[in-house]
Amino acid sequence: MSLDRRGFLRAAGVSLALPWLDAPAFARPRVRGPIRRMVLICTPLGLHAPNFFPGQAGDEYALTPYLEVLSEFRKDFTVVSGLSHPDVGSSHDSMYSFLTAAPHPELRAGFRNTISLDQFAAERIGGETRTPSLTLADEGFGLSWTRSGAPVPADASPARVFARLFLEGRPEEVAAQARRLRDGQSILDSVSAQAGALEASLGAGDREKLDEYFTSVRELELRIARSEEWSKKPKPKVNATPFQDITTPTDLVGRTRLLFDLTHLALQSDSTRLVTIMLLGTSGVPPIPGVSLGHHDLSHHGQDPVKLEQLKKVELEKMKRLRDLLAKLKESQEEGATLLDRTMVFFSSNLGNASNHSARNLPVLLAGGGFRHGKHLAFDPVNPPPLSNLFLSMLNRLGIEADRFGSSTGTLPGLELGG
Amino acid sequence: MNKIGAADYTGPGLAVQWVEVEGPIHEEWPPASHRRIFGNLPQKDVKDRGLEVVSGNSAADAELILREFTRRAFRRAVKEEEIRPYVDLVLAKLKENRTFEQAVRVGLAAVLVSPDFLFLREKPGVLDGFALASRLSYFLWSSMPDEELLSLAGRGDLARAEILRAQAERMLRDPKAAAFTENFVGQWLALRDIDFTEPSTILYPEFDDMLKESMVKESKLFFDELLEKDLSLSNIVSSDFAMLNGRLALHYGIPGVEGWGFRKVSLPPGSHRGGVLTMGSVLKVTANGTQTSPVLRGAWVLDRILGTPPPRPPAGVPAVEPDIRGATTIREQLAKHRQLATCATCHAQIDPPGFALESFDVIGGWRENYRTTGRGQEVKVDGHRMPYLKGPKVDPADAMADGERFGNIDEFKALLLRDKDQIARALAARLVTYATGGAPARADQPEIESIVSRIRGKGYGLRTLVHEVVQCGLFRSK
Repeated sequence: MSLDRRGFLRAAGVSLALPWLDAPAFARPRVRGPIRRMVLICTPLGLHAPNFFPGQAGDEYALTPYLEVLSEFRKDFTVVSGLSHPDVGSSHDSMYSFLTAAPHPELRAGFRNTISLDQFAAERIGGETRTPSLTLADEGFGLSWTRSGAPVPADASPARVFARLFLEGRPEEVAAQARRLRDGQSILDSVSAQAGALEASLGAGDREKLDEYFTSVRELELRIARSEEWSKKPKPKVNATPFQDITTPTDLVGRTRLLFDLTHLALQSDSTRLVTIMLLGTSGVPPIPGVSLGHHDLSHHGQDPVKLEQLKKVELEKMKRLRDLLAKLKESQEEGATLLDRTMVFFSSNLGNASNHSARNLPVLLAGGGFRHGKHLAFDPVNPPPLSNLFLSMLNRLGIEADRFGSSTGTLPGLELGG
Repeated sequence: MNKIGAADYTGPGLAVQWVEVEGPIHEEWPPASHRRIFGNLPQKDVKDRGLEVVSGNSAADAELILREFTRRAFRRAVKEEEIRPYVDLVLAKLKENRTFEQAVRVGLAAVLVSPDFLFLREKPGVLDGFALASRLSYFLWSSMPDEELLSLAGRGDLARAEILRAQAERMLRDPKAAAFTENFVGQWLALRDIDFTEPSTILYPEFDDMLKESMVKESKLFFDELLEKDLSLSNIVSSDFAMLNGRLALHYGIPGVEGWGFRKVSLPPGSHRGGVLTMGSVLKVTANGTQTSPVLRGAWVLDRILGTPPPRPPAGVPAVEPDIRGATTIREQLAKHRQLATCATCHAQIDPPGFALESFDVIGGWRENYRTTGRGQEVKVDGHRMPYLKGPKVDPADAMADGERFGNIDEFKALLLRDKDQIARALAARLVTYATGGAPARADQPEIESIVSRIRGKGYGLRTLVHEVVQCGLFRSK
């Protein structure tokens, strides 16, 4: 009986005006072809621009200290300078809008987030995999936001994600899980059935809040239905021992490596095609030789040579972990192509200059995904195209025929598909 | 056993010879929290699952449990038809041959995800008794109303002014009111951001966790003191006492306070302390780990203390980028700002409090000179050479927007105290915002003014203010 009601709701979308019923949520994509994937990484304390951006545009640019780390992949990535979100002001709060482009998170009051790039894609292609998307974060908020602007809870434990994706439970655990899913459905059915009675006699603000609530209920219903379906299929076997979490909260290097390794396994096993990763931006001191000051403090370097030197050590470590991820993706083959060719890896930050919290001229690096790479696309930081234009190009590359995302005004010029 | 660095350690040690664990953890079984839900129904050992509640009359017992639980979860009287769906859900699970406890748990979970539990339901207009009970309870306790509040609400008595006052007074005396200080002060003074930056160990080697914890504690105890003794809001700007322990007193340079315990200390002349502006916690959360910015601190004072937040900087104006190499001081950098007419209007308001606070470093220590790693003189403390150098001299003097000059923080505080109404207005608006979940609109200003005028004659007492907020129309309606 409950399934009938759900089916009915899905088909008709009655009583609750849910905008995303328009989207072909979790439908099979119409376009067939190679699997396309997307990994979105944010390093929340920026990257020291002079060590990152090349001095010249085009193919012939000289490698900077940070890009030097990736020299063997020079033809596999494009570095983009100048980009930013047009309506996002200077503040750490810019991280909330990093993948959504929602205006003015820095004002806090009145800010309401919108859907993030990965969730937008997940609504369209997420149904293909066990997990529509993975939201990973080393601490605090992740990068993913639902259509109603609620944060998607981030997974902070690689060990737990590993278990969820790759380890089969014992029969009684599987049965208990199935029971929990059924109970969850019954609870949501009972709650949804009361929607009509609650809506009467509410002010506009409260009605909006309640709409958000019921949207979340609907999202959960779909997620439970999908979990049930997947719970009947065996999990993929991967060639790796179960992960152990790193308990040192400041271990930027180890924790980043673990998240990246997990990402590689999740993509390779086609457990998901969409991953967001919020890296560590700790106020603590990362255990890296030669680093004695907190990461956040280093990012506020104030041109202090001691700090700049330590900051460089920290940021070079991030670049090395990125290099390792690219290497793993390039080593993995799929139908005669490399996994890197089929995976866009977007590595950037919500801050262009952490020393004064500027959210302009963000450091952007796009690797893989089958684009014609190897160059530096330089835009005018004062009047750049919106970062969302790059996001739209990436959506199109996933086979999603959107013509807008966030604050986009088109796709990003200069980014072309490889031959 | 792991020994990390033990062989080379020569400092003092602490020997732990044994650890004892005592039981039982629960004084009674089943614990009170369990009995509040399941009453006196017996428990039985179920294979593989441990103890489970059992019932000889499942349907009737489930209904009783759900009825009582729903009333408390929704914080109001509930109608029969509101309970029905949850009872039906439990009955359906019983029919699926689930055990009694499993079935009841599904019903309880459904109550706990329902919007009636998750949201405060307040209809526009004057709040009904139950909504008022919840508003009061979440204001002062950050939690649900107790039975006394609910029963006053049910009888329609809570809205009577003297009963509302008596209840607010009862609640402020309850230990649960610690949540008010914790959450209100934590947000108002941004104490929750205390860990946002880690002070540079080179510039501030004396900073440690004990100091940090002490700073936060000081701010809460100070607020508690004003609240308990109904002391004047002018203490927020300037007080002749501080709540200190030995670690903080050392940091503030106040002699004669020893040990970890906090106490009320009369401040000696020339301490430059007293009031929230000169508290370590406030000075730390308004700075980063290395530098202070008069702009950020000034804007903070305007917003948090005076309730007149400056407008955002115009788009396209980059923030002043700090440069500690000593070529230019922050005052020189800002001087450029203030020469531009477009910037001058706001910065004439923003910068003065910020300059007055320049006498305090990023961890709230008093300073005559900046610390630097660039060029400067060696610094020795207790005969030890410090990792930082003595930089340029601090100049805390400036003029208020109305032209009144001050030479240091003490003179600045005195100027702020010229207008106590403004301090009261600002805190009243903050409290209303905290209590109702919405900032007072322009149309609500007369209500705020009337609160201010009522506490003015009563010495601007903080407890009086809290009572006036509870009594005001903004609090009692939506």
